[in-house]
Amino acid sequence: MNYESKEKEGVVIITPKGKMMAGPDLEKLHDKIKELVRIGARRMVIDLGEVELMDSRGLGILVAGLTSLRNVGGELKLARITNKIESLLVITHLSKVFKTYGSVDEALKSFQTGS
Amino acid sequence: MARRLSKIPHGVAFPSDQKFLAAVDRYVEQELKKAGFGKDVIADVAISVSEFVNNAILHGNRQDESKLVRLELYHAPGQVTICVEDEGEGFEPDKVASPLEGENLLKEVGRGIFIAKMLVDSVEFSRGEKGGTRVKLFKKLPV
Repeated sequence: MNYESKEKEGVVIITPKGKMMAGPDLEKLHDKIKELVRIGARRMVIDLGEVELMDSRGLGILVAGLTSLRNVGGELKLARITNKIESLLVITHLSKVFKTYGSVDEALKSFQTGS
Repeated sequence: MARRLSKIPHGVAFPSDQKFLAAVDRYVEQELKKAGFGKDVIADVAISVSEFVNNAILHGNRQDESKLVRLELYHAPGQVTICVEDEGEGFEPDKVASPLEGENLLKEVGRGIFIAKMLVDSVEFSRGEKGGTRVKLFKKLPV
């Protein structure tokens, strides 16, 4: 697994690629999210459109990112979730917790409109 | 760097280090592909196996690299059974808290067994030969 990170309209967009499954590569993404929050990121979109598989550690990192951002008045939103990931969010009841959007642009727009 | 898995009858064994997780995932995927399983079944089994292998490394063997995790894979037409065994002190699966209740919902950890059980047809826990936890996963092809 690897990831790309960029900023657009004051929002950090992270795009993981491959399998978001437990292991050293996934922990690098975890560290990256923590570091971004530490240096001041408050709005974040995780673009999951290129994620093949996700396990509980992958979900755990999304939850950790969400809670750490909300603790400092920020927000983490998910974009382009696949059917597999949507199923995972539903069975773990995390679909009630995360805001999800069909595209990164929709997620970015939601930060402006507050939706 | 790719980590080497040691061959054992019906499977592989490896030290308790998360650096082996990617190699284990590749092994399971290759074996299931060779056996003719479809993408969705492979995905479900791969996630379940990842959960239990990671638990074996972290919680069973507590990342003690002198202790091995063993993975055995058996397949027959339309079904696969995978056993994951550690050399830890065993655990009581009934005492694992539900990840859906109260403040557990927003915890970073604690969903692995719950997710793994949802993705396969059955999960059985028993004691391994060395006293650790042995988990048996069973998945059949959708009819």
